[in-house]
Amino acid sequence: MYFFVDTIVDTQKSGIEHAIIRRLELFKMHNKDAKIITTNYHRTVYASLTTDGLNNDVINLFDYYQKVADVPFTPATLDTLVLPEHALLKKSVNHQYQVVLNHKVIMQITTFADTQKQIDLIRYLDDEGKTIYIDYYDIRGFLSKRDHYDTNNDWLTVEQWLDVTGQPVIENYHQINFDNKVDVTVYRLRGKDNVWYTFDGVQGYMRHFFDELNLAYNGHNAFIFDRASETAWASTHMVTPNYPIGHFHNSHVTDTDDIMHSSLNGFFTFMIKNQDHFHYMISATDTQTKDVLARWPKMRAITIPVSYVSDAQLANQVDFAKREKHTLIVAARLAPEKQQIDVVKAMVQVRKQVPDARAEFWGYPNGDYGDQVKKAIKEAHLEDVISLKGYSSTVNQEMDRVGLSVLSSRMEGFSLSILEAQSHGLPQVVNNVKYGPSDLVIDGQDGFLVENNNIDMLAAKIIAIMSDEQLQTTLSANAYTDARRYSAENVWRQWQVVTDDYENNYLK
Amino acid sequence: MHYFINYSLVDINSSIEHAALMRLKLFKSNNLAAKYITLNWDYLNPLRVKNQDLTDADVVNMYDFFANTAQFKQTPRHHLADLPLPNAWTWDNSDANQATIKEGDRVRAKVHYIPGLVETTGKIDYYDTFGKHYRTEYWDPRGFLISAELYSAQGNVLEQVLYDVNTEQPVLTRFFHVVDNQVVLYRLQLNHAGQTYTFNHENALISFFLNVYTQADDAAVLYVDRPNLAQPVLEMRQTVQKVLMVPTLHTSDPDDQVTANLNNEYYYSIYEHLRDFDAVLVATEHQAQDLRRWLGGSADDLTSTKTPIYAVSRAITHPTAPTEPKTAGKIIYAGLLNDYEALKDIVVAYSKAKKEFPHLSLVMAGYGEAYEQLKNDVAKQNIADISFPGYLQTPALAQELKTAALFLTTQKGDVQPLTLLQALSFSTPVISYAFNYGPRDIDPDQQAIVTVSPRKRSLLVKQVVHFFATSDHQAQQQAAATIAANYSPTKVLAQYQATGLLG
Repeated sequence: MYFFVDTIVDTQKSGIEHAIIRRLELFKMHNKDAKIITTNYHRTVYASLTTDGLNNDVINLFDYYQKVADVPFTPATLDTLVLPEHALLKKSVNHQYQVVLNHKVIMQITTFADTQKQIDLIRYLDDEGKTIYIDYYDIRGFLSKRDHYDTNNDWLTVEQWLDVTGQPVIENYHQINFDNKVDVTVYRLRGKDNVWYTFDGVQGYMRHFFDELNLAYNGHNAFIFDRASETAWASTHMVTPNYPIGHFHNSHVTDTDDIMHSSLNGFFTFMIKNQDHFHYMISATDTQTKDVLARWPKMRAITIPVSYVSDAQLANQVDFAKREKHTLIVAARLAPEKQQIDVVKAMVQVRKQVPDARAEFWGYPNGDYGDQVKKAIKEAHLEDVISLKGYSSTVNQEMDRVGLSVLSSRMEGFSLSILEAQSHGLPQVVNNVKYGPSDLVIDGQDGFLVENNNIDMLAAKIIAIMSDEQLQTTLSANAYTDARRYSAENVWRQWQVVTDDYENNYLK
Repeated sequence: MHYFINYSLVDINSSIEHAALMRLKLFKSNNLAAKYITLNWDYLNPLRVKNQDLTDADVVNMYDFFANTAQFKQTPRHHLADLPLPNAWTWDNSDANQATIKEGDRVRAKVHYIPGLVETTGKIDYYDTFGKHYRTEYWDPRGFLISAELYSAQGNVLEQVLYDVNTEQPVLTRFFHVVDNQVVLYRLQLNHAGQTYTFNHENALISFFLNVYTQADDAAVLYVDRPNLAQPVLEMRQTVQKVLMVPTLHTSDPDDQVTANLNNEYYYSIYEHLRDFDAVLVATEHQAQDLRRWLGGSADDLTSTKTPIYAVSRAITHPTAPTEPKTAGKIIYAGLLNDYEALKDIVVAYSKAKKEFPHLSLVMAGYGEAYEQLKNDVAKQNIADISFPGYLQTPALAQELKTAALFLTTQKGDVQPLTLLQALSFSTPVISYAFNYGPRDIDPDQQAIVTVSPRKRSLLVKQVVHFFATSDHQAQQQAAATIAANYSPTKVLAQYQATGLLG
């Protein structure tokens, strides 16, 4: 079994989740057993997993111990809720209800939006209206978590996750920590054979989970740790035999112009310092693998693209005449490292040469960068030119409609977006940064590489493509061709280096 | 079914529990179904039952009932190795009372064994990463997790959780907060038969429990053995019979039980709610008359009070022919050791008499606040042959009473002195101060009990010296046994029958 270890697979996915999902498709395609493991608690994530069709592919740590997998539920609703004897239920505001006993509000109930009064959470109150404990319900309908409070100080004191029978299975106790603050100071988990294990922190119980899961799947499984930082200690301290693989999902250094001396990207410091522990360390591009090996020649570094282009996609070429040739797309999170504001600035120049030029930004905002982008658009008076489209899981359909793609990132690990655009036959103008753009885009053949933060150059290349239909059509045709480098067959060939080693050397 | 409602059954019981236990044995031996009900939260309850020579079915604890302990079907887990603790944990059991449990070098928990049981898990205290106690578990002597306590960051208990012993689900949670530096119970939450119940006071839970427990019993009679349990019993449904027991003097002045102020403990039950009881039982006819008069009724008229007041002995004796010889000169006092001034009279009377009769010895059996002080006095004054054996369990006390030549007491008041009557049943004569309701009610002719006016220490000395001036006490010993026979099971049962409570 291959386990892909992540924190969460939610509605809004980062490149790591996209990479994992693409990898899962590839593994299934080649009849390899693989599952995604997630470690974070999220009581509504099941809804998006259902939408993504991933319910049977994801094993979540909390679900595992709460024993919820494959159990059908009748959701807890206001109608099925058993109230304390003699208590009355009253509606207060939207999705809010109160339970009154002896003229005192003893419970406040919140229901999930868009449901038939399905219970979201219940707050239990003392006579002074202070919270005694809060019951949180999973979107699937069962009581999932109970937070206990110290009513004298309004301190959260015990967090308790319950299994589907109501039995506590994970507990976090909040006491005084070394900073003299009330915070989690001990973790408990009810594991195999109903034994309670105690841990000093999250890494401890993640490690325990990985080991129990490993044993539950007959041991000696392969674990690809896709969140090198979040699962760092756990990934290297498993006590059951396993086959660990590390993964660079971004640049491993902060300054890609000085790969030999640059400080390390904090996310990967631990993994790099503990590189001997991993059977392979995967980079998505040859350029990165080359840089990694230059600095750590003994590292078992290997290149495997984090996505692939399906055969169906390769067969589906859009007639260029049908495209909106003067509309460009930026498909990336609205985030400082993606530098969408550079595109806004470039568009001012583009509009002067190509008056009907338009731009569409697809992606969810990180922090307040979305607002910054909005502000920049307003200042440039481009509100009618640049549309902020938000996150969409079907952005690839938009790529069949528009005329080119732009990515102005400061840094990349691979850029799923570039590959996606290429496989949809889009000419591209992308920053020539590490890692990804220069591996994916062949300058002058299927698009152009431009200097980071060089607005004039960025604008010039966009203008060049938009104002030359012949060029645009040629670049598009070449993009379709170049995307074939990332066919499922080609990418799998690279995976086989790992799977062969695991199955033929390690397991035997 | 007859239900005797008590708080607890402990190792050192007061006369209230002793009286209820005697009643339980009386009822059982006469095929009257009866149960001793306890309402306290104490995981060691099952051990007490064993120590009292009772069966598990005789005693029902409220929390045990909700935890379904009677239905326990799992494999008992008594020892460290049986507990659901990780294999990687190690323990140091060099201490006979507790074990320290570690994971590597970090202390995770301390296991305290059940007192008196070898390496049997009782209480487990858990410690967090910084060595702070955050959780305590209680393991029932029968081998299962019965409850756990969660602690706040400030160190006070926040919740006590009771578990169903088979499903291991929480069934009842007691919530605490701090008010004026006191940890106070403010809420109880019970899951019972698929329904959730919220109570703000333990008495409300007790009423609920008693209703549930007696639900199917059309002939339930509940005996309130402690006056402060009157409220939860009266708040039960109407269809059970409710009996108020009066285990102490009913006024604040031991010498005036007719016109003095009511003992505060009876304000709720006698002053406010007398009519809500079906019967009131006092231990002697004398107290019954005084209480009727206190209430404005007439001494001899059962119908002169809102609820009839019956005299039913709480002592039940089993007089037996002496099986072993008395120890010459052995004096015994057995009872509470609280009233220092009164108890000093015993020591003084003994030490004076001992000067004339050097063979005398004194046993001061019992426990109480004056225990240490009395012991120190005796040591300081170098008075010979006094022993303080502490609280004696029933068989040991019986042995001491049997072999004593004289039972000496200086108490000031009691509804019926149980140990004094027990001494008589072993043919042991008594010298006592006069008090309500005691020596003169039991032995008006002073055949076995010599009565001295209260707090007349010189007279007491005189009577003790007089007693030991002769070695022939056969007549007094015989009289003692004869008087004790007035409290035989047959006679006491007849008193119960007269109340109509036995159906």
